[in-house]
Amino acid sequence: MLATTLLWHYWLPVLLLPLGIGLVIAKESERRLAGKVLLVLLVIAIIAQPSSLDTSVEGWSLHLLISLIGPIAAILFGIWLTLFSGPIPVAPLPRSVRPFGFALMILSAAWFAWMLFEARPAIDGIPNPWWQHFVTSFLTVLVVVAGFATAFALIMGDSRLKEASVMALISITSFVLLIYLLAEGTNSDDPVFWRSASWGALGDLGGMLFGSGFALMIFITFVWLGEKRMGVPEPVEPLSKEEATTIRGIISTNSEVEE
Amino acid sequence: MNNDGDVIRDWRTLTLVVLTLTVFIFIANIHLEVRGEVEDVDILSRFIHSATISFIFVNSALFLITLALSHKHAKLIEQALGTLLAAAIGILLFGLFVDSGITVAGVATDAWSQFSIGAIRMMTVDFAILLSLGTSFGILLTLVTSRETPSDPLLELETTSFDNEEE
Repeated sequence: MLATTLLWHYWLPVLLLPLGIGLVIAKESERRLAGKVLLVLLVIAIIAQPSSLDTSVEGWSLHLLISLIGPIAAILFGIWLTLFSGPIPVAPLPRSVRPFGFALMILSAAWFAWMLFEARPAIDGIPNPWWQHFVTSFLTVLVVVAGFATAFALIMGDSRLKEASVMALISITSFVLLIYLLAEGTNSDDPVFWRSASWGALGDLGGMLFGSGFALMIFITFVWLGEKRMGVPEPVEPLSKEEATTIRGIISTNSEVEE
Repeated sequence: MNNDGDVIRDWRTLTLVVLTLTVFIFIANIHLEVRGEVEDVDILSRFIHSATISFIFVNSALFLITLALSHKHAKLIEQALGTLLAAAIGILLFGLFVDSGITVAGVATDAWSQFSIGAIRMMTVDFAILLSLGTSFGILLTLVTSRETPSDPLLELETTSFDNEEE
């Protein structure tokens, strides 16, 4: 059964997150402010969980997110530093920062590998139950996305062999890593669990693509129906004499031509 | 660089690459499952639950975003009511599946337990997708923008006179 604390500190913030994002990207400043306040309140509600994270599956999902903050921050800062210290005209950083950006990216990959093989996220020795599901989903999607990026760089780009090679390396490495996990497992987990997680992730990914795609198609149909129901706009009446005089005055003022 | 007429062929090739990689991943999973032991995952139930929960998620999110961005010209009746009804139908369908015995193994068989575990699984998958997209395209952007290109020679020309020098 659903505990009241989980309702207020997990499910309600998750439910209201799209509303907060929608308000933040609105045009009106009042809505943007309301969206920012709502997002801050949602974050506070999640952080202020009274119960320990290892007491519920919802708490374990937050623990997974917290465990991955380090590698995610390293890759994001790495990409940011490398990108803006390159030969780009927009907000350039000093060139000397570039190696540090690459080092952060390598650190992120090494950190992830260390977590995968040596230090599975856990609380007091109890391993995080979402870890295998996350890793198999991440590696599966990374194989496909990096493979797509490889083909994209080759087909759409102009002499992008070097870039395509790096993306192909990422895709192949992810694939080999996934196969290794399914065949050999890790120190903490038998390959049986990895195979089961991978099968489940494939079912989840396929279902998610189908369900989300179907929902988007329905939404497009709703928009289309709305547009179709909208009547033909009525013809605009010609300008009155007073309006025409006003417009002539504005045009002559701006074009400095006397009539 | 390709011509504009090749766009359809290019995207067809890219789609083929994605499909080939997906098939490879399936083959690898099947091959390794045949070789070794695997727990009963019940992939069909996982697929049905994921599809229904994703349908509910996307419709609910679109409903809330439509409300947040509503304005006087918005088609609120069609968009907001439509997405809300679609989400409600999704919830009813999910309950129907659970009552019919289409449940995920290893979880209590009541509707809320099945939904909450499925929803967290979906959020974990969404998180993994976002992370892999950000990583891949972030690195690709970094690589693509790192090429030193000579400046456009036209920028170095100076226009001092409009007269033709040969005349």
